[in-house]
Amino acid sequence: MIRHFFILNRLGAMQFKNKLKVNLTERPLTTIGLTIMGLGFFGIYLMLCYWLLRFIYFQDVYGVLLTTKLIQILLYISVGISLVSSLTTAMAHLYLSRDLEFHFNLPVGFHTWILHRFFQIYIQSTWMLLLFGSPIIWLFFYFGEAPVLVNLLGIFIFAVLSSFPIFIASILCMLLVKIFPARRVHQVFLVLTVVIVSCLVLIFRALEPEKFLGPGGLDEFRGFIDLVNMESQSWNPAVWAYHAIAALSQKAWSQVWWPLGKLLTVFGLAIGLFLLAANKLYRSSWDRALQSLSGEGDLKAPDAKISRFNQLLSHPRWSQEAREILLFFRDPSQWSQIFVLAALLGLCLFSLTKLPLNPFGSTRYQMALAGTSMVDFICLSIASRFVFTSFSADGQAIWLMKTAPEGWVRFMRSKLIVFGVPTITFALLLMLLSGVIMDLTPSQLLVVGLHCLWDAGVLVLLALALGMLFINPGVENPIKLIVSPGGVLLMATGFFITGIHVFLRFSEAVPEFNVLLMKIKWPDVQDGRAAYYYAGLILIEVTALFLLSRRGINHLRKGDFS
Amino acid sequence: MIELDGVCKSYQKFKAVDNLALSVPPGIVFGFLGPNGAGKTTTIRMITGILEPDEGRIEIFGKSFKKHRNYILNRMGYVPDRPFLYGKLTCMELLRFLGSLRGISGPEVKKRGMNLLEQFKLGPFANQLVERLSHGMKQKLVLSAALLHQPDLLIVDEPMVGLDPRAARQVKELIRGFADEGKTVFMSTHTLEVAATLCDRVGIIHNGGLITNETIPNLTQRLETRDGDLESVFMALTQEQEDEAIPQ
Repeated sequence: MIRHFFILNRLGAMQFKNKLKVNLTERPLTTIGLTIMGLGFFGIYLMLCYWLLRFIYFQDVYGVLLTTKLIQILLYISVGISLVSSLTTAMAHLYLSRDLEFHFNLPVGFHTWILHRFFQIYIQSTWMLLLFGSPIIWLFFYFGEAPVLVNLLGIFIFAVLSSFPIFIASILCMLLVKIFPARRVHQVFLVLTVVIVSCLVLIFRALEPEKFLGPGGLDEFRGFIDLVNMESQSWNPAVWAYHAIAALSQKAWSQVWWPLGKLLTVFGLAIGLFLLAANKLYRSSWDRALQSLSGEGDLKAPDAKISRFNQLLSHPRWSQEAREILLFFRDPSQWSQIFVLAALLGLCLFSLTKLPLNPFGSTRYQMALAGTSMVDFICLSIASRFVFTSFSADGQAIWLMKTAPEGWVRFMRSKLIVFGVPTITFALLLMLLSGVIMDLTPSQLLVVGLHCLWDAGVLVLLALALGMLFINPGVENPIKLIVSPGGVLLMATGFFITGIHVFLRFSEAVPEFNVLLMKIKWPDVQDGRAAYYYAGLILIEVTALFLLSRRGINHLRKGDFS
Repeated sequence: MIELDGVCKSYQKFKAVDNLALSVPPGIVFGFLGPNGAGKTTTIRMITGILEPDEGRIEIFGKSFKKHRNYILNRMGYVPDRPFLYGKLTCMELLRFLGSLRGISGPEVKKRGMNLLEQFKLGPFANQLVERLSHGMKQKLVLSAALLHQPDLLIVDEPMVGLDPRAARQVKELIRGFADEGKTVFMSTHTLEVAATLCDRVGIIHNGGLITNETIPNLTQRLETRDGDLESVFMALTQEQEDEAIPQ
C-alpha cells in the first residue's frame, strides 16, 4: 500500500519535472526569469516577515504575547482560506479530472488511491498557505531560541491543521455529488458557491478587520488583544493548534500534549471518516459528474434553451461576444462564481459602514484613496480568475479561430468586452459606492473614480496580454491557471504596479506620508509634482501594455495549441 | 491550387517537415499519405494557416497566407483529425457563429446549416449541445461547418476516424461529389483503401519530406510491386526510406 502510494505520487513529481525540463528547453529565458522573480518575491516576503516579526516580538512587555496573537490569527485565517480553496480543488480532482478512468484501471488498492488523491488535493489547495505561513511559525520559534525539532513540530501542527478543511471539502463534495442527480451538477456548484460565500463571511465578520483602524485597534494594545477572542471556541482545531504552538514556544512541554493529542486524534478520525465516505459515497459515483458535464453520447437530454439572444451569434459585429456570453452562462463552474463576487461586494461595503471615521472630510478622502488598494486587490483577483483564463477557456476549440477569416484583435476585443469591461465596472462600482458610504464630495468621488479606472484598466489589459502569452488550451480546469507561472506573474506584476499607484496617490494626498517615504528615496510628489509622475507612469504603462498585447496576439497567431 | 515550395517546420530540434515541395492541381481529390509522425498533420496545419512555416513558400489559390489570409480562409474548409468544438453551443448555434465569421447572413446560415445537418442525419440534434454528441457525430458536425460557406478547397485530416460504416460511406460520397463539381480536396488518411478508391493522386510523405506525388496507376506501374495495390506501394516506398536511414 505504501509503495503504491509513493509510486502514484511519483507520477505527479515526474510530470512536474518533465514540464520544468520542457520549459527550460523551449523557453529558457522566460522560465529562468520567472524562477528568479518568484524567488526574489519570496525572498522579499521572508525579509519583510523577519523585520516585522522581530520588531513585534522584541517589544517590551507585550512583544511575545502580541506575536502569539498574530500566530493565532494566522492559524484561524488559514483554516478559512484552505476551506475556500479546497472546495473547488476537491471537486476538480475527485470528479472532473480526466485521468480518473486511467487511475481506476490501475492495479492499485482503492484506499491507497483515494489517499493519494487526497494528498494531491491537499498540496494543490494549501501549498501557498504552507509556503507563506510556515516561515512565520519558524521565525516565531527562532526568536524564542527554540530547538530545530520544536520548530519542525510547530510547522507539522500547522500542516495538520491545514488538512482539516480538505477533509471537510472532500467529504462535502462526495456527499453533494451523491445526493444530486447526475445531470444536476450545476446544483453542486451552486451549493459549493454558497459554502464558499459563507466561509468568506465567516472569515471577514469574525475578524472584523475594520476594528484595526478604530481607537480600540492597533492604537490600544488591549483593544487589539480583544479582537481575536478564540478562547471561547474550544471546539475549534485552530485553537488547539494555537495552544500547542504557544505551549511549545514557552517550552511548557506538559501543556503541549493535551491540545496536540486532540489535534492528532481528530486528524486520525478525519482520515477514517474520509475513507468511509470514499467507500460509501465516492466509489459508486466517481464518474457521475464527469458524465454529466461532458454528456457525450447522451442524446436523450432535452434541447438547450434557445433565446433571442442566440440570434446575435449571426451578427456580423457581435458574434464573438455572443459566443463568449453563451459559453459563460452555460458553464456552471463559471457563472456560479458571480455569487462569490456579489458576496465580496456586499462584505466590503458592509465593512465600510462600520469604519470608525472622524467627522473631518480629509480623513475620509485619505481613507478612500487608501481603499483603492483594496479595490485593486479585488479587481486583480477577478482579472486573474476571469480575464486571464478567458483565452485558455476556449480550450482546444481554438483551431476554429485560427482557421476563421477574422483578425485576432477582434477575438481579443470580445474577451475585453465580455470579461474585462465587467471587471472594470465592478471595481468602479465598488469604489464609488464606498465613496458614497464615506460621504465623499462629488469632486473627491470623481478623483477616486478616475484613480480606480486607471488601476482597473491597467490590471485588466495586463491580464489580457498575459492571458494570450501564457495560453494553455489543454488545461482541464481554467481555475488551475491562476497558480501557473503566468498567473503568478500577473499577480506579482499587478501587486507591483498597483502598489506604486497607491503609494503615489497617497503620498500626494498626505504630506506626512510623503516625508516618511522620502526616507527610502521616494520622490517628493507634493506641490503638483505628482502630475509629472502620473504622466510618466501612464506613458510607460500604455507602451508596455501595447507591446505586451502585440506580442500576445503574435503568440496566438503563430502558436500551435493543438 | 496548392503550392508548397521548400517548406520547413521544426519543433525544437525535431524537423517535422523538411524542405517539402508539393503541388496540387484544382478539381482533384489529393491523398496525402505517410506513416505516423511523418509530418502530415504539421503540413496540413501550415496549409490551413494554423501554423506558420519556418522556411519556404505556401500559396493557396495562387496567394500567400501572409497577405491574403482572409481571402484564402473564406474559400477553404478544414476538418481536423480531432473534432474539438465549443461544447456548450448547440449544433445550430455553432454553425450560426462560424457562418457569421465568414459574413453569411443569419437566415442563409439557418437554411444552409439545416440542409447540411439533415444531410448528415444530424437534423434532430440541431438544438442539442455539441458536448452531448458522440465522436462520430461531432466529426460530421465539423464537416457540416467546413462546407457551410461553400468552399472551393476542402482540407480533411483523417476523415474516417470514429465514423460508422454508413457515415464513412456518406463522407466518401461527399468528398467525391465535391471534387466532381470541379473543387479540390486535400485529404490525409491512414486508410489506404480510402485513398485507393477516392484519390486521383497521392503524395507520400516520410520523415518530413515528400517521396512521391503521382496518380495511383502510375505509381503502381512504376514501382512494379508484387500485388500492384496502394498498400504494397506504400510499404515499398516507406521501407526504402527506412533502409536508407539505417546507418551501415
